[in-house]
Amino acid sequence: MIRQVAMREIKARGASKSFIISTLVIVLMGVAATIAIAIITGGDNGPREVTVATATEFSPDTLAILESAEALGVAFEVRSVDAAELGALVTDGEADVGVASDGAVVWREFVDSEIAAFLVAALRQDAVINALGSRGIDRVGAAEILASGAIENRLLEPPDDAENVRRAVGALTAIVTFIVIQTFGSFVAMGVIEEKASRVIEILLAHLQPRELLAGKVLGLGVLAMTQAALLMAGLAGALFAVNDIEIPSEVWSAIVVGAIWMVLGFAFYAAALAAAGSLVSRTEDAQQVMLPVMLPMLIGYLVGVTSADASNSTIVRVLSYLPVTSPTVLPMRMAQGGVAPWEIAISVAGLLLGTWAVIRFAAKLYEFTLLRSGARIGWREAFRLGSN
Amino acid sequence: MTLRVSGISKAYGAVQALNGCDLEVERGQLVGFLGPNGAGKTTTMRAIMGLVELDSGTISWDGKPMDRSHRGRVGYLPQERGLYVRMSVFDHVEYIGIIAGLDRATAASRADEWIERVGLTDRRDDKIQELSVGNQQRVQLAVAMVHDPDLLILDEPFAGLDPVAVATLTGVMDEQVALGKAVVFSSHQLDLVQDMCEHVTVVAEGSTVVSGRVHDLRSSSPRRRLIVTWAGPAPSWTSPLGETLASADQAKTIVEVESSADPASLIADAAAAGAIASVTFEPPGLDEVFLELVSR
Repeated sequence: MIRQVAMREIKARGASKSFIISTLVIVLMGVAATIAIAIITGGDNGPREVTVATATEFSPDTLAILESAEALGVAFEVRSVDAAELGALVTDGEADVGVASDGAVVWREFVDSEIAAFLVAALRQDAVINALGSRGIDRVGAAEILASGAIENRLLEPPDDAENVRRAVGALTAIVTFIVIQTFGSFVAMGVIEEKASRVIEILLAHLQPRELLAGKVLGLGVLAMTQAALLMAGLAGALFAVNDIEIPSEVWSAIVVGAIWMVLGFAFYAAALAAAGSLVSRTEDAQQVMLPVMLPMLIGYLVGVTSADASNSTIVRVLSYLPVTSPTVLPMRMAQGGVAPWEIAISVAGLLLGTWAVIRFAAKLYEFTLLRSGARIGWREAFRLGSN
Repeated sequence: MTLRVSGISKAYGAVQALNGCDLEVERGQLVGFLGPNGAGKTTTMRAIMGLVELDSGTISWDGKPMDRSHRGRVGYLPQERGLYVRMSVFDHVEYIGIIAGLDRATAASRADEWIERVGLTDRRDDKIQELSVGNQQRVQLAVAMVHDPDLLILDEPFAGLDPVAVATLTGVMDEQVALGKAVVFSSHQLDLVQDMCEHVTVVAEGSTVVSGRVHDLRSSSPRRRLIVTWAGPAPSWTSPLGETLASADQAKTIVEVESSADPASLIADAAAAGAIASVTFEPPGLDEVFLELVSR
C-alpha cells in the first residue's frame, strides 16, 4: 500500500506543471549562477600571469630565470616595447611591470616584492655577466660561474587548485540539501494538511493505516526531491566542467556521496517531523505556524554549513555535524573540506539514523491521533504526549 | 451480515452528541437513518467508519467488533465531501479502488464503469476541482462504490443533487439492496424518504427514538387523514368527526380524525356535499409521526 500511496504523490505532484517549471527554473538558475561565478573567479585556478614590458632586450639567461618562476606559480610574459610607450603601458595596466632602457624597473603604484625579487635577480645576473665581461671574463665563462651558484626553488606544498573546488562543492551540497528538504518537506506538511482540510482523509483511512499514508507520502515526495536534487547537482557540475577545466579532488566525490546519503536521511527525518507538524492543524492557513519550529534548526544548520568554510573544524561546527537536526547540511560541508575522521562520520550517521527512526516512529504515532482531529490547532505539548504514548 | 450499533455515546466537551444511539442494518436491507439536524446521524456514521472515538457503546459486524478489515468493505459517502480536488476523476476513483485492494486493471475498469454509471464519462480526465458541486458528489459516489462494498454508509446522499442524479442514486441504492448489500443512508427530510425505504431508524438528541418499518410507524399514529379532492370547486364541507386542516390546494379538503374513525361513512358524508374526484385515507407522514414521537 505504501508504494501505491507513493505513486499517487509522485503522479499528483511530479506531473504538475508547477513542479516541472520550478524544477527547470531551479536547475537553470543554478547553472547560470555557476557559470557566472566561474567566469568571475576563473583566473584563480591557473598560475599568476605577469606581463613585463621591456625597452631593453633580455638575454637568454634572464629569460631562463624568469621561466623558472613558473614552478612557484608565476608566469612571466615578456613584451619588447618602445622606450617611449613603456610608461603609458604600465600606467594603463596593460603591463604589470616595465623595464626601462636604462635597466630601471618601472612600477605603477607600488612595488610587488614577489615579482620584483624574480625580476631583479634575473636582471642583476645579466648586469653581473656584463660587468664581468668588461673586466675580461668571457660571457660563457661568467654565465657558468653564476650558474654554479644558482639556487633551486623547492615547494613543499604545491599550489592547491583543489581548495576552491572543495569549498564550492561543500557549499553547493549544503545549499542543495537545504533547498530540497525545505521545499519537499513543506510539500509533505501541506499534503497532510490538505488531506485533513478536504476530509479525503476520512475516505483514505477506511483503507490505509495512518503510518502507511505517512510512509507513502514521505517516500513519494522523497523520490521527487532526490530527482530534483540530482538534476540540480548534475546541472551545476556540468556547468562547472563546461566553463573550467577543473580537476575534481577525490575528497569531493566522497563529499557528494556522503551529501547524497545525508540528503536522503535528512529528508526522511525532516519530512516525518513536518508531516507530524502538519497533522496538528486542519487549515492550510495555519501551515507556516506549525512548520516554523521544525524548520528552524535546519535553517541554523544550513547557515552554519555555508559559512563554516574557514572554520570547518571548530568545536561548534563539529558538534553541529554530529546532531541529526543539523548534520544533513553541516557534515557534507566538513567532508568537502577534508579532515573528518571516520569515527566522526560514524557518530553522525548513527545519530541521523537513530534520529530518523525516532522521528518516524513519533510521527506515525502522533498521526494516528491527530489525523481525525479537526478544528483548533493541537499544541506541541499535547502532541508530544500523544506521540510518545 | 449485520451491522449492529448499540448504545453508543460521545460527548464533545459539554455537548452530548450521542447518548445511547442504536442502529441495525441487515443484509439486503435499505435503512433510512432519520432525524433533525444535530440529532447525531453524522456522528453515528463517522463512528461506524472509525472516525470518532466513542465514550461507550459497541459497533459490530456479524457479531465481531468492527475494525479496519471490515471498514475496507464499506462504501462511505461522507456528508462533507472529501476528494483530492487536483486529481482527475478517473485517477481518483481508480486510486481508491487500488488502495481498497483491487489490482490495477480491475480498479481501472471498475472506475470507468462507475464513472459511466454516474454520468461523468465525458469528464473522466478533468480535474475534480473543475467540476460543479453536484458533479463532485457524483464522483464521491463512484469513489464509494468502486471497490464493490458490502455495506453502504451514505451521509445525506441527496443533499444538493439534481433530479437526474437523485434518480441515479436511488437506482444504485435499490440495485445494491437487491444484490444483498446492506445500505443505510441519513436524511433530515423525513417526508422525502418515507416512500424510499421500508425500514427507518429515527434519532433525536443523540438517542434512537424509534426503529422499524415505515408502514408500522405511520400506522401507530392515533390519527388518520381523509384527503378529498373535489371534481369542481370545493364545497364548504366539514366533518363533525374531526378537524379540517388548512390546504393550499383549493380543490382539496383535508380532515384529521382519530384512527378509529370509519372511512366509509366519512367518504359517504363528503360525497353528499359535492362531486369527488379522488379520496385518500392514510396515517400522517413520517415527519408528523416523528414530531408525535419526540413530543410524547
